[in-house]
Amino acid sequence: MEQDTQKINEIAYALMIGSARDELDIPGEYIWNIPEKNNVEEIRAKSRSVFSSGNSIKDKQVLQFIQGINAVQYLKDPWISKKFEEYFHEWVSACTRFNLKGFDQFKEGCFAQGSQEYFLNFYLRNRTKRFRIHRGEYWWHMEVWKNLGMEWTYIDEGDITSNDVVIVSTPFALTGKVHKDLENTITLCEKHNAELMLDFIYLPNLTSENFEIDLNYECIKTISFSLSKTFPVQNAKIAIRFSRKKINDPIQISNDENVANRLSCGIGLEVMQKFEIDYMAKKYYSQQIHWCNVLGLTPTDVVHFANGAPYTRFGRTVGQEFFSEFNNQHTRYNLGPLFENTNFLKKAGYYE
Amino acid sequence: MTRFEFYFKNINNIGAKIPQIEIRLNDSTIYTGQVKNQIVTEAMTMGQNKLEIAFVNKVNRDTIVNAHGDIVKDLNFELDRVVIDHRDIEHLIWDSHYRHAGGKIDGCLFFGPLGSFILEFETPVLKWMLKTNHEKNNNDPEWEEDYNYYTEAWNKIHKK
Repeated sequence: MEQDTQKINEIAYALMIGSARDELDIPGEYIWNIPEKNNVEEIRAKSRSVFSSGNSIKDKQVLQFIQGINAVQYLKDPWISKKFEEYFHEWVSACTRFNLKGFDQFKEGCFAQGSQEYFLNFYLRNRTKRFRIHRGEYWWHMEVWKNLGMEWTYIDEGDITSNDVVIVSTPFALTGKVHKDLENTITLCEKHNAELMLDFIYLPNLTSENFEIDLNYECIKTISFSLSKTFPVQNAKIAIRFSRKKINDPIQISNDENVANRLSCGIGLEVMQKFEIDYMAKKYYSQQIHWCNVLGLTPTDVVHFANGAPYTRFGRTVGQEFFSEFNNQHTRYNLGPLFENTNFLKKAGYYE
Repeated sequence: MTRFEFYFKNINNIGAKIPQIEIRLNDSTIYTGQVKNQIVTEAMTMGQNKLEIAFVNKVNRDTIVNAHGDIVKDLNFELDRVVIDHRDIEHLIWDSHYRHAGGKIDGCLFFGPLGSFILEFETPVLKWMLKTNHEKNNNDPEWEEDYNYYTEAWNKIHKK
């Protein structure tokens, strides 16, 4: 089916006009996606990044539940981060949708304030190494490495060596599918004893029912999850890193000192206790297919993502990338704003 | 009907005499009276339009000079902004001229001598602004596509 770029653009504009007029079913959460003034210049500029975020679907039921959480009570609970860490492992293990072979060995949970905290700790711990990454990975890595003067190259620019450390999001951030080179990357990391971090940030939203990955490779020292792509808690910064052995880096030392962010741990624990890990995948799979059919996009294995050609030159033109020169995720569409605003889009005639 | 908002500033009287203007759109008068900080009116536009703000009550004795010939008092005012259909035309206000007995001054918002501020514009005004800006700066090749997306979405939301 041919991509309907006209409709994608119109909907992007409609969502931004609706946002400026406070008419959306569920408003956006970031100032770069919320026109403050109802003027065409701002609506036009912000329409270009309507589908660009990787963030979770702002599901109404989950939002309502979160609003009802008394997070402050957790400030008085010294055990909340431990409860969070233990429950997270159970919560992942309970899902039959994916088979993480060897996950049981990754018992050392360590609460992190968002994926960025576990990434930063990975950088610190491996600061003398060279960082390797696939093209299309989360641009934030490269932006940080560049600005801190750290050594890094894309994986396709040369063989992985023993001086390298590697990060791969699985499913992959750009495509919403397992990276086509993942198996080879693991093999090379194992061969050269190069540490590999597998970031499962998008795994909870996986639609396929038979995902299998073998974590029994020595090179896989850490795996990580964040709730920011699963539930609308992205600004609470709730994430976790699992490892086989305790890693005494800054986040672990802070957690051992019992100074973890208890508000985030409490919110994360309650949300996990209320909703299964694949809640969004189950609830929105049919919507993903619907919108891909309407817009001529290709569904990915992550329920809120589709792939397609960029709908605007912004993002795909050198010097006009969103946020960072390393952001080349403009072929990935976050369908969340469509799922969230069904009533608004129906009224406007965009939801057939 | 198209809504027009005119914003004036630095309005200087001479005694009790206040500057008077006549605003014309395509040679039809749409306002006559004193200059105020804000004047709002409505008029029918065409595709191509000529807006004229005529300063109509200035005479020689409204300019008072001292012994050295310096102006010490003067009947005058300035145009600050023009808003058409809720859209401030911003810098395009300078794509105008001021015609007076001594000739024509480009991009003049000061009403000193008896004369008229003249601005040619097109409606829809947003389309005209995007097009003109691109013609000036050559930096917005998608202006027309984006204009169409925007208006289409706007019309669908508002069931026009």
